[in-house]
Amino acid sequence: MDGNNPDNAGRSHVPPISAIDRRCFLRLSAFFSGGLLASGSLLGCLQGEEGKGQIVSVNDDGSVIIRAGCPSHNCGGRCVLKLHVRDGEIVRIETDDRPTDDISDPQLRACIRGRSYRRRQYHPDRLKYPMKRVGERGEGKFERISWDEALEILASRLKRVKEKYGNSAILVPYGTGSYNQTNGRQTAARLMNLFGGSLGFYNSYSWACISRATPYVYGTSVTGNQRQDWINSRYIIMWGWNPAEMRDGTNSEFFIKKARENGARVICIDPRMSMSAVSLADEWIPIRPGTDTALMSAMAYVIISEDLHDKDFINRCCIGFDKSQMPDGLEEEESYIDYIFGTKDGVPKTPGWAEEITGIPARTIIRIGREYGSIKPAMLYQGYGMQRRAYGEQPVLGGCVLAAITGNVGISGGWASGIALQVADGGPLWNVFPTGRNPVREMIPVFLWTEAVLRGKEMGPEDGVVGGDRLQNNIKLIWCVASNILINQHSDVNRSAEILKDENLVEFIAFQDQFMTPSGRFADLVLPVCTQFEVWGLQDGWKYGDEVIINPKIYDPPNEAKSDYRICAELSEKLGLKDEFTQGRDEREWIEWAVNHFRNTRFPEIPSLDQLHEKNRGVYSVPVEKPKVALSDFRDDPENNPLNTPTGKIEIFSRQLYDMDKPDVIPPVPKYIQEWESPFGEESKRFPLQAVGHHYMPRVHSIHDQIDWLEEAFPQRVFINPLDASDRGIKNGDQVRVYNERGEMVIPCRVTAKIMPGVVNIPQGAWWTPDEEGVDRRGCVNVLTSHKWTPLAFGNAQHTIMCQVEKA
Amino acid sequence: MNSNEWPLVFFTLLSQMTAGIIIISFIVGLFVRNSELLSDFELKRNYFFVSLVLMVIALAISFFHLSAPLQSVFALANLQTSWLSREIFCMSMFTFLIAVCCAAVKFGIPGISGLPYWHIAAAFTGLLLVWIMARLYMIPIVPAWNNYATMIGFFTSIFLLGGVALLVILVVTGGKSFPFDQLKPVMWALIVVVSLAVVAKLLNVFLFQSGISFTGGSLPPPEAPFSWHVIHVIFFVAGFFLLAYWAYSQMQHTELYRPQMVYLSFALLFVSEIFGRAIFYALYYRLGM
Amino acid sequence: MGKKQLAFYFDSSSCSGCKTCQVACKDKHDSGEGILWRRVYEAAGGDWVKDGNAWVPNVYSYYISMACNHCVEPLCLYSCPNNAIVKNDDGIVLIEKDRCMGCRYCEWNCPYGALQFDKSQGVMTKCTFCDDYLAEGKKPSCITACPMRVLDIGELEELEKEHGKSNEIFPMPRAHYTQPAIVVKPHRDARMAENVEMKIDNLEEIKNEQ
Repeated sequence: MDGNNPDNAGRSHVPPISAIDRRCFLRLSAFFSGGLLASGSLLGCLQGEEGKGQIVSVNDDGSVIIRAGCPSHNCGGRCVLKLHVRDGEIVRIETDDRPTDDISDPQLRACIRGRSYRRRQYHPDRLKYPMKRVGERGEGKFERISWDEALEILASRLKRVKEKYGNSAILVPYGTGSYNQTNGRQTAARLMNLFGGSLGFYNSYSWACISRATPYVYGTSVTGNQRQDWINSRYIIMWGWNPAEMRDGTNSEFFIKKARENGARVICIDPRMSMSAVSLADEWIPIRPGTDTALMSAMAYVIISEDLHDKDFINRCCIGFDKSQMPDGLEEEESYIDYIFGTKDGVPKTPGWAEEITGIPARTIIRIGREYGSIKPAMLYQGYGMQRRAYGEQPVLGGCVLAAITGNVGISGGWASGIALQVADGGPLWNVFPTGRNPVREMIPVFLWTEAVLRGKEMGPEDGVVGGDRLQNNIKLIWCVASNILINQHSDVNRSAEILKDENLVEFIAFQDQFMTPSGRFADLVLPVCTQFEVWGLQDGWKYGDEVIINPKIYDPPNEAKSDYRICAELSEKLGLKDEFTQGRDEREWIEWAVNHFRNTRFPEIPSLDQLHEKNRGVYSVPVEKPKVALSDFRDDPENNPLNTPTGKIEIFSRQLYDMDKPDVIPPVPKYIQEWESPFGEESKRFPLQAVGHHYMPRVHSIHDQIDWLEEAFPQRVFINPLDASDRGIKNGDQVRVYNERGEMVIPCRVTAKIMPGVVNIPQGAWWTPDEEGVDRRGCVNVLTSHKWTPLAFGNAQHTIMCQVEKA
Repeated sequence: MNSNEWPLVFFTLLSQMTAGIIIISFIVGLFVRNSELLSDFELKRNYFFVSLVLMVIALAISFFHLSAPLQSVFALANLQTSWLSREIFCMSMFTFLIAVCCAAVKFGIPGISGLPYWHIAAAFTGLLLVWIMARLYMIPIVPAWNNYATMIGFFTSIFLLGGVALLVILVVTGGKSFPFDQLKPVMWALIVVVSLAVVAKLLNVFLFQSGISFTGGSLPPPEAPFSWHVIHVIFFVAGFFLLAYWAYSQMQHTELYRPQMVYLSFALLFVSEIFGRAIFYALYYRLGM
Repeated sequence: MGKKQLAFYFDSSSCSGCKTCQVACKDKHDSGEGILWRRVYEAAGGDWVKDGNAWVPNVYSYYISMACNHCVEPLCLYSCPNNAIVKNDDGIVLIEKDRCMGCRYCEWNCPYGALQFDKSQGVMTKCTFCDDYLAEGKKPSCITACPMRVLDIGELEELEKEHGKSNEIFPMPRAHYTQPAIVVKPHRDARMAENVEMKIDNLEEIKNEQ
């Protein structure tokens, strides 16, 4: 190894080192004088950095230990990796090994995705050089160019579009590939905001309905107790929630396990016998997808008719439950109890009624209704899959209302449902890297970006546009950073591909990522980004954890890859915005800035970055000894601590929703509405199977799809019930064709009783790989999904799919 | 069946055929004591030398099964508990004894008169070898193998292949140079041996079936390709009936009748046995995981 | 009191089947393609009954994470002609690579699929109990990886004293063949060895060459 050879820099540079050695607890000075390090590059690198006496450990094989954040993508996990680095290469990955692992501050153990990261880090397909398109758009043909040329092209395109159309024709799309401050779309967002702005958007592909609907009931999104409180619960409903697989916060599955050990009964409502149903639940209750609100309504029917509801709480804290609680002037409108008992519509929402819709036996509905109504305290935890559906707002509202009428709000061991950001401040901040203010005021719902490409100028409030009456422009330039949303993760891949192919619509597409994803194939310009091991970064605890995790730079990026921040910084120079953009900081200095920011906000005790780095624990955490409970002040004294709703109370009936005057799709009380693609509709004659695309263990959305260890552990396939399979002459492992009118795929199947009859599951995130006939050979669920959005949140309804399966 | 098990098919069949040649030639020699033919020097030379060649080929093939053949120097280290170690030991002894027999025939040392003792020793070692071989496969956690069908199957192969092979050697060696009446008793003896082997083979099908139909395993019992079963059965039937037809025809003749039929019969039966053995390997599955 | 025998403890009742243990093992040992010293079996059985408009599941499932059980009676060791398999003072069954000739006879003899052939090296490989980590006072890689904390190690006798003797959960074989050094806390759906109604649902993920 030659550390002096700049060509080897990517692999040969070992970072500033700090680690705790089992044998030699050494200070750097001792390190040097002891002559333990023969490697010139290692020495050189150590000397080149601060050299502030970091704690260093060396293994027998000469590797050193560096603790770092697991590269943060958009999973719910924020974990710590213990990297063994030798000769500038990560040779082994372990996980958080802090000596204590108790519930107040448990170890942040990485999952299979993080533990496989070497296979991603050293994958031969990583993007190496900037490239420009040479073939047709979407053909995937590129040629290598220099960084200077690449940035010149992007700068001139940005200037041209700004001049010709204005900043609102630029889109830096939704992208969740990196969350470590210096990598990720936020860097481009900051630059664009300094450049005059770009088309804004709100919402997410994850949480559109739940983030929009929750505040209609509670006036806030901060409805979640701290997780350490879960062990105080006696009854937990995991409703479409699968924390063991999607990691809804590192350790969420572990906390449920602890709650169960503490005596909680746990049930799981899910069309699939998920990993969580197997490992965390005492009972699995399969439900027909898209019918959650019917089940909730029938449970309410049982609870109310058996007098199990918390009348005191309802009287003190809620409005809209029954006629006596209706808002002024709306006394004659349908209250919640009216809906449940069918007073106005003539349909009592009985367990028998729900049995037909949900496929759950009425006796089971009665039983779980009684259990949830009588076992206190109880949690109804809503997963996010059920709100990425046709009327995804309704189950969110319905779950919140069930929590309210059983009085499980504002108490230890209870759970208010809804999006449940963590009390008291909504939890961690995710990105603290300052993006600044967007001078373009108009915002679209994030899911409607293809609409804004096709007919942006026609879009207004009826399409969810806020900040202005109409968009000023159609989207003409897309700068896609850390995002696979252009093709793979947006609904109806075939439609998106047609739109993007048309160079008269979007005139220029720049793509900035680590791998050539299906979105990248549609780019005009490709910019290679380093991984999060190759740049300084910092993460916090996602939705829950009270911690800050640092990502020291392990070594320089290989080939010509750069961090998103570095790319933007160099581009800012070409746009004449360098000083404003960088404020004179490099990546590490921004991370110092971020640590200081945390010190001024959530973590006043947090040490400096140097100290964090020196300690080499990878994480700074605040143990939660006394978990806080959301909405407890309100519960104790609703008059003096009103909610931020129009009435100050929990709004079971929402006047705001009533005023929207769309009772069929936006009812003021939560209702079951038959989906626009449903097993009960005409469409089911041609496409009789419901498809869902669950979050799959080996991937974070579309990240990691190419990793061999993960594919070995969890291959991509469609899961189908034996009854549906035998109807179609399909045997386990067969290649099958899954299709509807929007697209088709051919992939292997897994025949398993662990999915409900009538439902198939195509784990989402596989990379769209069309053959000559346009048939996807990898199993990207979005060839089947619809572009139709939900009525209130303008959110994605990507799990509402009807399809057919046959033997290929 | 794993591809690395194909060498085992040939290794086991060739060594069992050789054991058959040595054992049957000895047994037949006991019953047809006065035959001039059997005391014929050339015939002995041929079946010992053929046996030696077969064993050398079998051993060579067995090395193809090993991915680190150099480490086979340790292969006798565990005679205490390893059937495989014992097999390798016995195999070596068997080959050595055949070589001594060959040497005895060729060089007359330790003298023609000593040969029968070496032949006895080789024959018993051959029996022991095949018994050990069968034990090697009778693994407690492998239901398809862990029964006496394995033992019977292997011994059937000895007599079937060994018998026919010896017949071939006899016919080739004897040719037309010997009066047929001298050939006849030996030939009949061999035909009886082969017929008994055939009966045993047919009976064994049921025993084997009981092994593979064990239902307590957690892994799905594997299946051999259907075509293998077809080849196994058809070649066997064809080979056997051809041999029977030849024997019947031979009865009508005083001269050696169409020896090509014997060769063809041998070829058919050998191919049948190859597929039979391949099916045996393919049906490996174990209890547990 | 017999000889020292280290053993795995596995709490199947809370195993999510996430396979972090499997990959932690692969990463630690740089295992090649198809080598799964530790792997996770998905046991499943049961069916569905249509009851009026409702679907009633009679479906049960659980996961078994399985490495080598470093058996008290290691059939693999007994079967190896080369004495390439040894049992050390801690009861750990190890392969001495330099003595292995790759005959794969041990593979046939192990009812836990623990012995796996590495094509690239041409020798058999298996779980080492991370004996190098034990020497450093650390637990094996799979143990410290588990996000659900369902894996642990200990002295076999002590584990059996604490949790009872439980080592015959489907799809494991009956214990009498090898006396495995493992204690499994059964899942509520657990069935015993040689159960005929259950099956391994994820055979394609195990890749045991059979």
